[in-house]
Amino acid sequence: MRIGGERLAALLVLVVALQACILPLPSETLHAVPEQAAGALVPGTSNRADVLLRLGDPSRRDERDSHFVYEWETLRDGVVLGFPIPFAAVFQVSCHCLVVRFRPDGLVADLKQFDGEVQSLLAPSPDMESSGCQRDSALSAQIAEWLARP
Amino acid sequence: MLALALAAGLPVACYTTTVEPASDPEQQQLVDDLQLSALARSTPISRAEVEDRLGTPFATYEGARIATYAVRKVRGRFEVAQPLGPVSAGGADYRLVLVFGPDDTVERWSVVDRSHW
Repeated sequence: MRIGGERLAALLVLVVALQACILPLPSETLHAVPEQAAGALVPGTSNRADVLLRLGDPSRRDERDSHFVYEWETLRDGVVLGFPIPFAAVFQVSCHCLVVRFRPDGLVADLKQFDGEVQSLLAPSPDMESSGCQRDSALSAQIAEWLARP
Repeated sequence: MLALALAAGLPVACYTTTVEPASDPEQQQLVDDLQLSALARSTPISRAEVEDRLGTPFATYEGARIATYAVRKVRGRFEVAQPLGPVSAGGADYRLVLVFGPDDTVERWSVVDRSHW
């Protein structure tokens, strides 16, 4: 099919405009707990104070502080649509949690890192109100199952 | 929140942040800025003195034996951040963690740096 001059010009403008509208996002991890920090916590020896002195406040704690959850998210393969005036972003997000369980005497019983599945996310969306970890129901179930163990 | 910031196209460089102990100079500056230099000199400091200078803790644990303060750096100076919710303090990348002993003075303390790049 032959394309006329005006259509070709419009097509070229569209291609240039689309390229200007898409900006790749960097991969990013926010507030990850380093393996070294987690590795310094020894079950049966380290206590709740040791955990807090090393890692600070947890993302989540239960009423009796029988466990702490430290959450972080990794984002990758993202693009912003509509740069320089963005209206949405698409990216891959995964949630990671370090869960520390305490004995009744306050010593660390055990700790384990959980890594959630990579999920695609469009932002902004209604889901953005909750963190990636709260959206990952499979990960939440794994953690609940682990915490329920005697 | 993070994703919304990304959607705004704000970050332009690759970065990773982790939770780590603050460096010694940073810890020193933080306790100086918060008028708690006694901590660095291992001089006893009571809970009343801490609360007089920093106010109500961000969080407490074990019946308030352990208290944490959310701290942020503004124009090169550390200041206590006001809590925005149960686990949130806007822009507070540091935590001052204080463990009180039986005499209600600070027994152990640390600064956790959550802004490490």
